[in-house]
Amino acid sequence: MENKAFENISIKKIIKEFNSGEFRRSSIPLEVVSGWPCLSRLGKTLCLTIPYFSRKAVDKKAALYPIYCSVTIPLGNPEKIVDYTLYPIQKEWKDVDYKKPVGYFKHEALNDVATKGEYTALRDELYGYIDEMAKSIINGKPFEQAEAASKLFSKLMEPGLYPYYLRINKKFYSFFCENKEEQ
Amino acid sequence: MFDNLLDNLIDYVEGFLGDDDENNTDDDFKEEEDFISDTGHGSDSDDDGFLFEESVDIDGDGIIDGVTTYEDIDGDGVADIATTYLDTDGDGMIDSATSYQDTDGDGIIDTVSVSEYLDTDDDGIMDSFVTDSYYDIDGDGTVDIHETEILSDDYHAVITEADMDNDGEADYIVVQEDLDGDGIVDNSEVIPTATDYPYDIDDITDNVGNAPAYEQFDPDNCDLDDIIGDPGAAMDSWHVQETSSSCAVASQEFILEQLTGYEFDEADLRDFAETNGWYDPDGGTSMRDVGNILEAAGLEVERSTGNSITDIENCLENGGQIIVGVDAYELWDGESNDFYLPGDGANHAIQVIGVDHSDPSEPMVIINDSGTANGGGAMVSLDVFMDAWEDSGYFMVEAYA
Amino acid sequence: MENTFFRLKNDARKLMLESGKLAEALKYDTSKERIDDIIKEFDKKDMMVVAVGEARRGKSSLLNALLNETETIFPVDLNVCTNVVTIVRYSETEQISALINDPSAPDGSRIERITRQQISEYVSEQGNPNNYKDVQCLDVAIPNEALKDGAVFVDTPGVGSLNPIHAEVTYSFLPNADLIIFVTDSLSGMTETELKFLERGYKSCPNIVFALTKKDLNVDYQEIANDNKAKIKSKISMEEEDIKILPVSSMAKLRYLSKGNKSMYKNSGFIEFEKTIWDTIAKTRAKSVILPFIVETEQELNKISNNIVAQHKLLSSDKENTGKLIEKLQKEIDKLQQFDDESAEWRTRLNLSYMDISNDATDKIQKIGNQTKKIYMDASNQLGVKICKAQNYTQVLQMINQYLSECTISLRDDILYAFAELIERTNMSLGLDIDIDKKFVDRIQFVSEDPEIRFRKKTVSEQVISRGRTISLNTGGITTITSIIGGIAGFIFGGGPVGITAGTNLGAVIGAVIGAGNAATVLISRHDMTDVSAVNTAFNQMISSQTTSMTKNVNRALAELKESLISDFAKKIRMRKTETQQNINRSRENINLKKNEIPQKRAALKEQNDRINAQLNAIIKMEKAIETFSPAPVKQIPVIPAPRAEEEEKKDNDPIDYGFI
Repeated sequence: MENKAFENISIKKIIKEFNSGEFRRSSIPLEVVSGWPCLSRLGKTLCLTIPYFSRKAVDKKAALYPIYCSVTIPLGNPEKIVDYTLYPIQKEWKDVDYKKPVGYFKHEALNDVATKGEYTALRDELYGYIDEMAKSIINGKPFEQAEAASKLFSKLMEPGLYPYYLRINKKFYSFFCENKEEQ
Repeated sequence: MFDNLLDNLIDYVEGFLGDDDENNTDDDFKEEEDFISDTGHGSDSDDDGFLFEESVDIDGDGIIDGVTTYEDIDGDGVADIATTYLDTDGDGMIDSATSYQDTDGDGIIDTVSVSEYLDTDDDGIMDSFVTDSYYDIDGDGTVDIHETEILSDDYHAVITEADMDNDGEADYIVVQEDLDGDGIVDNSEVIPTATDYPYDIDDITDNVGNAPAYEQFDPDNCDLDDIIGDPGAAMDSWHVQETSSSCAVASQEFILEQLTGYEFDEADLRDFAETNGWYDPDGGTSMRDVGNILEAAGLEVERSTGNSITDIENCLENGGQIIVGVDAYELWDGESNDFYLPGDGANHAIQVIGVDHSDPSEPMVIINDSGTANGGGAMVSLDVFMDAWEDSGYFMVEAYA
Repeated sequence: MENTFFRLKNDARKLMLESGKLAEALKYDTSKERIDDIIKEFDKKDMMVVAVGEARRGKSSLLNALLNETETIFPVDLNVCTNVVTIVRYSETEQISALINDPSAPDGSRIERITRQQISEYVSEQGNPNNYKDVQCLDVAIPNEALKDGAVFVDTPGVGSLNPIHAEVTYSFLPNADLIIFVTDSLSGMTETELKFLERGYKSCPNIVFALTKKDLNVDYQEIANDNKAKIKSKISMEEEDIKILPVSSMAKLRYLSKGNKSMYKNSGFIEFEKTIWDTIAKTRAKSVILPFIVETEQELNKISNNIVAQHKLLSSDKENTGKLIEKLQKEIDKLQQFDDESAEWRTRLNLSYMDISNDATDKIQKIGNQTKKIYMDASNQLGVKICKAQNYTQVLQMINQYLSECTISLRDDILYAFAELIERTNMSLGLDIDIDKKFVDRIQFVSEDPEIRFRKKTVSEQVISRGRTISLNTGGITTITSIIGGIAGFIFGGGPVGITAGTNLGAVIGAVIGAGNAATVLISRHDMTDVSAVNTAFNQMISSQTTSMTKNVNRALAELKESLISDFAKKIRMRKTETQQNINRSRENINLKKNEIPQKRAALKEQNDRINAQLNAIIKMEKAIETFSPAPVKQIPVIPAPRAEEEEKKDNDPIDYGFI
């Protein structure tokens, strides 16, 4: 039986709604923005993890700071929080200095993306791939667009933030962005 | 006068803080014939502890600025330390000293020290004595260690930076502070330095640029009937936020000052907020906590989402002050299309201080934005403002006295 | 020397040689090749016996006596006090080399050849005060019978009461030891300093034997021994019966050696002493040093056995099924061909995993460096100006060294674990530890015409093998996992060249072992500790440079390891291909046998099977013998718990492996 609830899934929408929701407002600082989400499984529940980081623009260049926190919600029940992690207080993140930028935007791979419109379109496309990933997993079908998704993800993934994404979910992000390592 | 100069010098060396007893005038320095200079290398003929001294005219304007002394530490007749004392601001008092040392006697200078008397709080009184020392430890001709010592009445700190591998980047920085003047280090930190960041570690105030889309509100050049709110007064409280995560604290500070009439220090408010769990220096303030500082100060605060420009105007007209959540870059860049950023969501808090209807077809929203250099009394078009505001769900905090 | 350990080792080697010959006789060439490789690896593993203790307690005399050297190697004059690690191993011609720290040399050190007489000029306080000659260690290779089987003796500087820096040098060397001989004498009981060192050392190497020297100088030596035993028991968690204190008289043994006086030998206590040493080593090290090699040999023999079984079954099966089997084998070859390809995916994945491990190690080292600096600054703040005093900053140095050693050991374990996992994964993905698909073979109708043939059941040890406990066979590369076990700590500190003399892995590992104390003292003593900031500078500099050289050395060791892993796997793949091809050929032969040739073939197979079984039984017997040694704490590569079981379970619920979730 196909899971109809996920037929029209839009992770972009879920994130936007989450960002306007009660939890984000009360527990996540307003100075941080949400980054590339990842999928993970909690038993049979497919979950979405949304990481947050802050950025500071100075004269057309933006400094990116390490990932500050992340929240994990079940895709089918996005108002429930199954995990909220604040990274500055985690033992494994004690070496991270949040006052220092870890990279700058935009990175080389985006040199050919000139306008806001183009960038937004690429982002929407990537969100679309993640939607497809979720649908495939729910329906037990292979995710056929893995290659195309990887290509796009690698292009959009900010190299400065990449190591921090890896700390959050190595399997997911390295799968799609792994040629980042060789850059 | 030269005598006086030397007297100053001795006082300066022995105990320097707040020593403004000697008052030499400029005239004293100008008279060359009053110069005394010891001659003869190799002996201390006037027994003042220095091999010899010579007067110095740094800027070649014919006016003596100071004196250079040569000391022979190990008594071998060859000078080991040369120190130049200067009166840099011409007020008759020595305020800086630079010395060059050859500590290991191999004929090569390996330590350089520059000391200055500073007036750090601009009140006309010298309050700190700062010495920068540079050491070449491994004798390769490049500076390996740079030490800064700051000495004032109640504060003593030594900051050491090392660059042993001469790559131009500090290998580490050690900060040691004696905060209560008891001679014991209270706080010491080793800061490992990473690499190629062109920006300063924490001080956003150095690195804040101008928002390209901002226009400036000019209170002297408007028709007050067209203006809602009192932006001219509100502009005065504005300043750039002191850290990259304290926009909400700064905005609340502006409002506090406007509604209570008292001055507040952003750092104090940050500490207060952090103690209460409203503010995390690494992250910032969560939206729901914006306004908590104001409530704690006794102001009446309301928070809501889904607001409109009318709600803003109503509040301002009733004497209230407003903080809203916006996407900063949509605001700063206005309608330009060639700049974009990663990440979704509102990320900035600003104070809305007025709405300008002088051009009915294009109302302008006047704001205090602590995040840019030109953010005091900045103006953006209503359309741009609404777009930026939408990202927070039209979130607004109203405060009343 | 009554030497249980080497006896065991030699017996094991004989068994392995026999197995190789058998494989050759049965025309399984690839198995023979592999067993030859196993033996080569086996021969490389030496036992390192490290003597620790204060000088003037008779340590050096003890070692001279153990080695039967009347012309002394370890300097024993009254006033001599060792300050450099000295390693003695076997070689057919005598060659003594000093490894000297030399920043101008490409590897950071150079080698000076010296004579026996010159030894004390390099390793003693008298001849080389404060080690101003900057000797990292001394390598003594001599044609000494006692060392022929592969024992290596190591003399160390003292344990601290005379010079705290010596203790640091010794302490950092300990992770390489297979056994520690802790030397004290019969004239006075163990001191607090010695006990403190024992406590520290026990953490690095829990296999300790206590030598109580100069028993000829005190009739009441037994009292001292008992007293020491109590003290030891209060310091470390050894069972009373495991604390072995052996009273010896080196003088007596040396007199026996020069005069031939047999009763002197008996009274010297050396007979019991030597037996205890080797028994202890056998008990504690045989499992990790001999057992894996035997188990691998067993695995090879099992492959042959499987093959014989399969052939036998083929004789009784129909053409169609046999054809299917051959098809399967052919597919196997095709798959192997893919793996053999230079650009094969397994290489990429291995490289990536290695990079992960390497980055992780670098991160960890960075953290260690930062934490060490923090520890230092805390100490510095507490002491204030007092830190300028030599005794104080030396203490701080000790503390830091201790911390660094502990971190390094933990780092080494992490790295080993990660590599073991990597090997397991690669093995699995290459299907290298599956021989013939047994299930497939079983499905072929088996009609036994000869009930006498018994096919061996697989033993537990086989299951252990298939969990990835294979040793990495080196095809001539520089380092292997086996020689890194216990040695990687050495790689990390200091950083000597890889290989003080050509060809001996052990020398390579040891040559790189430098007490952090050594390097540190040199760095520290270059600074004038006139004030706190000078001390701070010196320490921070030392910590930074330790961190840097740690990172450099670990990464170099890892890179070498990765390269040898890759060449190992490539070789395995190639050998598998050959093997599989041979299996196909054999199967084809069997298919084409005429009906009347079959009984003859069957008999031949039975004979082969019997021979293999006999050999296997001998091996299993030896395995059991080793395993029955009471389990003392042994440093092992952790065995990855049954990932296969998990995989199968997953296969039932989730047929698709997405790779990203």
